[in-house]
Amino acid sequence: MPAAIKLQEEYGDALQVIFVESQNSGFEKSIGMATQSGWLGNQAIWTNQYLFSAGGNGLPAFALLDGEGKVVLKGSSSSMHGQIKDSIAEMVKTRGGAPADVPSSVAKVYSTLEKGSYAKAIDIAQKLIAKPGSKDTQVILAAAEASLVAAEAKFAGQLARADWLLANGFPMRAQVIAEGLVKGAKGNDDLFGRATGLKSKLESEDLKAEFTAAKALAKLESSLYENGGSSKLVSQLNKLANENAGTPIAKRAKKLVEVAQYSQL
Amino acid sequence: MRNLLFTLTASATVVAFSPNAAAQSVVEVGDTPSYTFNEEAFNTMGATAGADFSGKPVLVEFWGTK
Repeated sequence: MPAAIKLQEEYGDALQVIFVESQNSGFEKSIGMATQSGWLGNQAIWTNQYLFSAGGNGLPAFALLDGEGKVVLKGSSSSMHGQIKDSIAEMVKTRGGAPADVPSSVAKVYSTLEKGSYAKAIDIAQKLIAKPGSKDTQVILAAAEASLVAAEAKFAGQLARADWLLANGFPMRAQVIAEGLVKGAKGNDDLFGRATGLKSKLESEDLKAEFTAAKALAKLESSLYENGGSSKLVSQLNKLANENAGTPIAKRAKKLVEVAQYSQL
Repeated sequence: MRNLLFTLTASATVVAFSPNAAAQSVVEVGDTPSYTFNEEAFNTMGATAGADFSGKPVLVEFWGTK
């Protein structure tokens, strides 16, 4: 367990760890134990659903999936930890790279995109589409068009993600994305307008109270993950939820009340 | 003997009809499992299915509290 937590903390957004409690202990007990053990506070997901089985008889067991969702390794987490680490390191190293067999001129679109330079990536793709060259013209043209679609989709995906974060009580995380989008959109009027629109919305007077509440909630959340739940913390979370009733922050605070209570079971 | 047979049968029945056991399918290297999260899943940050992690490796860790 701690080994997978460490991997999640080490790789952050580049890796997704999903913990599946597999002994039918119930969500309350498993999330309570995770809280007491100090395993929360990172990006790992916790569930009691049996998403699928890795086979075998013992726990902990694992299945490692690549960026396309294909199982590349599975078995005992304890005995294969070295292989898991090496495999993840290799996949993260090549993450965001161009699809296989993409011409080198088009691969630059993907490497630029991976750096968050959306405008520059789109510019490179558009130039290649306009002038694909005389050698392998159709191959380069098709690859450049696909890279343009990928770049635009990635930008739109990040905008949608920021919207989701804002709508669900994570305005500060939405702000981080917005700032990255504005920076990466410079030079492209359309992208820049959409990114600054999001940034302006996040900086509006209407959201000032939301940010204040989110900062207060972040402190309580950190305390929960560092020290576990307590009656005092439950009261503080409930108070924050009541003060912000009807908002996404209140909904999040109520969820954390449950987690804090489970950790006391 | 009868008690032993009853115990074994009961145990087998519990495993066979456990909701988890019924729903699970064993994946092998090379398979691309499809899965979704229910509302109870914690810290999904808006992800509803495995497809939401497209482009990044996913480590699914099966663990127990006992």
